Amino acid sequence: MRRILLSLLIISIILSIASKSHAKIHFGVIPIIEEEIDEIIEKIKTKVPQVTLKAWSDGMSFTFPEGVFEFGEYYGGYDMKYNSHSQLIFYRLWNWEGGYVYNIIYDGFGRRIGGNAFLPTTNPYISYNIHIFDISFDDHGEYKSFKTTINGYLFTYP
Amino acid sequence: MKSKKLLIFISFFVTLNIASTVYADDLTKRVGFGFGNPYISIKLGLSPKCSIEGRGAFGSGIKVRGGRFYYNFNPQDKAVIYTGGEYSQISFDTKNISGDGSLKYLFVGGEYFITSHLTFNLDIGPIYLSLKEEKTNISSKESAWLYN
Repeated sequence: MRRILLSLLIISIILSIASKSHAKIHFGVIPIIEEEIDEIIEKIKTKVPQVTLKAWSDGMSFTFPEGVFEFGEYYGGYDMKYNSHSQLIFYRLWNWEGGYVYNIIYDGFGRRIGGNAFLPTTNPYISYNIHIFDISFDDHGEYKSFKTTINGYLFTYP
Repeated sequence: MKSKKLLIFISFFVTLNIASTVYADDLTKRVGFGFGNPYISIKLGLSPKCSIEGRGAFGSGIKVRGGRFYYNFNPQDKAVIYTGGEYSQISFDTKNISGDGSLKYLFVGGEYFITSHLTFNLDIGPIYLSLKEEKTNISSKESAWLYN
């Protein structure tokens, strides 16, 4: 009888604290975990990008290593590289979710001359390389040709 | 207001069970399988007063795996009052993010023996939850109340 009274007392204390607490009461662990995941997603979306400025021998670049942008339903980062004439010569976009890297290369006049994308495979050392475009110009800066090819697998060794 | 009504219901349930017929029972070396909201578990009685339990809860892309320790106040009765603690590891891969974390849960509750082989149990207590997203290292920590 004493044990039952003691346990009842403990239950009463717990229930009393819970009823006076401002914290939510959840049924099962999954709903509370889902709420926390939603909170993390909100934190990711509102994170302020940290810009890094890098100086190169042929120009400078702005990098957003912690940067967050919304690209459809995915999140990733990007950086840009400029030459000494402030012309964009390289643009890179990467995605945390799919792990792909998308590069665009510009000539000294800010014209896109090439690009490719790396897509991951299940093997961490093999990715699929897609050569998206290859644009060439003649000596007078006029458009000459455009070529798109798809390459095979790209092997990377540690 | 809704949660207060729920707590009154739980109190009533526990009190009703204690007032019911005594059901002599020894939980030592007994193995039980449990199904809940939403979890599966396997429970082993170490002594009349102590039990351990392995638990797994699964949601959409969420996995919770851990263990519980129970201390039974009155194992010989039909309605057993217990207290204990739980520690579980959490992993998630959902809503385009993935990561892991842990939860700690202190609880008090009751297990009602409908028959000597079938029971119904309910517990309540404070829970501390910690999650971390693996790519951005953004974390979230939360204290709340849970009933299971």
